Amino acid sequence: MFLIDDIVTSPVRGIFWIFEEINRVVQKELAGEAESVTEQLRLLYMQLETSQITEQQFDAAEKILLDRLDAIERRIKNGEEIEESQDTEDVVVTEHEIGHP
Amino acid sequence: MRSSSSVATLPAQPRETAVASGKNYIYAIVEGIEPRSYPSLGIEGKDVHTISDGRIAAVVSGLADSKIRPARANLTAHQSVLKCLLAETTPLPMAFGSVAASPEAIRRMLVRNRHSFQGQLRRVAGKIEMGLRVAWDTPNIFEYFVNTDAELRAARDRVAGAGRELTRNEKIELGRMFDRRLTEEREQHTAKMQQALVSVCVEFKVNQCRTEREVMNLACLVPREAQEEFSATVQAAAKLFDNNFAFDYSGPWAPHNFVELELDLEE
Repeated sequence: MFLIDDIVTSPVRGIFWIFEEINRVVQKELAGEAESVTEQLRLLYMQLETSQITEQQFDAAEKILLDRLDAIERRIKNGEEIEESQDTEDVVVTEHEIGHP
Repeated sequence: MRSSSSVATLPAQPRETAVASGKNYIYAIVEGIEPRSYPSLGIEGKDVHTISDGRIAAVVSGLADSKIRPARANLTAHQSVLKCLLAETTPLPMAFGSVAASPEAIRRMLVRNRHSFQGQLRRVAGKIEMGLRVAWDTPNIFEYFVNTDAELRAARDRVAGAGRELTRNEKIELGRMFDRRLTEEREQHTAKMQQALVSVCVEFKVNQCRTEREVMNLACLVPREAQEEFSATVQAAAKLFDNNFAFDYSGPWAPHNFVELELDLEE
């Protein structure tokens, strides 16, 4: 067996876990094209954690993926607004934020 | 990246702080009405404070932009706040990206959901979440299975020995057999691991594996006082597995996998 323990050996150690823990709702709620973008984000975090890419490379690639995610969300939202318009909610939870793990 | 270990020691300041009007980002729900304050720790570097309904409190910070992207800086800020809270109490972590229109909206949300929040706070009180991932540490998972499973090997040899290209149906059948074996192996190893950890875990959540090489992805609800024992138990349990398995565990986390905050959004 090969055990990776909690010892912090690099500044980004644990960042993949943080992505998995904090961002799991994103992975769960989105489907189709967005899911594939999220999967690419997941890989990006893994590459950062394992030092395959630098933080600068991560930031550049992340921006492209998040922009794409925004575009997908806008499309979904526009589609949904035709069916129902809800402006009265006071806690705003968008597509990738609804619900819980 | 924000160093969450250095901010974990910031003390809570026992006084009311100015509540940001307008949009507020919500990190967690905590028990009690004691004000908590973490200056500049929040998303966008905002001050983090509590808004209470008199019994429970939401941990929030003001927000300039209602759209919060799941960017690394935001995820780590969210996690830093949860980590600070976890050092003091067990919070109910909110889903990343939860934004309320105003402090008043948060108070109303607390009142509406008080019963659910209090029940879940009791469930996780005095406990933390630990994560455990196990993966097959082999370059080719299919070859690994073929080499360790006689039935699969026989099936592969049968079609490979035919001396021709596999038909689509043969490929599908072989793929199904592989999937079946993969699922069986995962279930078997997960049961073995849960058995080994049962003395240090109150609850388990078996999360879905997302890559073929993943054997299990477990979230464990662990009593705070058993955290070191949990680590020791994982290390001991890992020895039950051979060199083809890699173990990665992490924590303590807020109990993301053990709370279900179905927010009542209707007025």
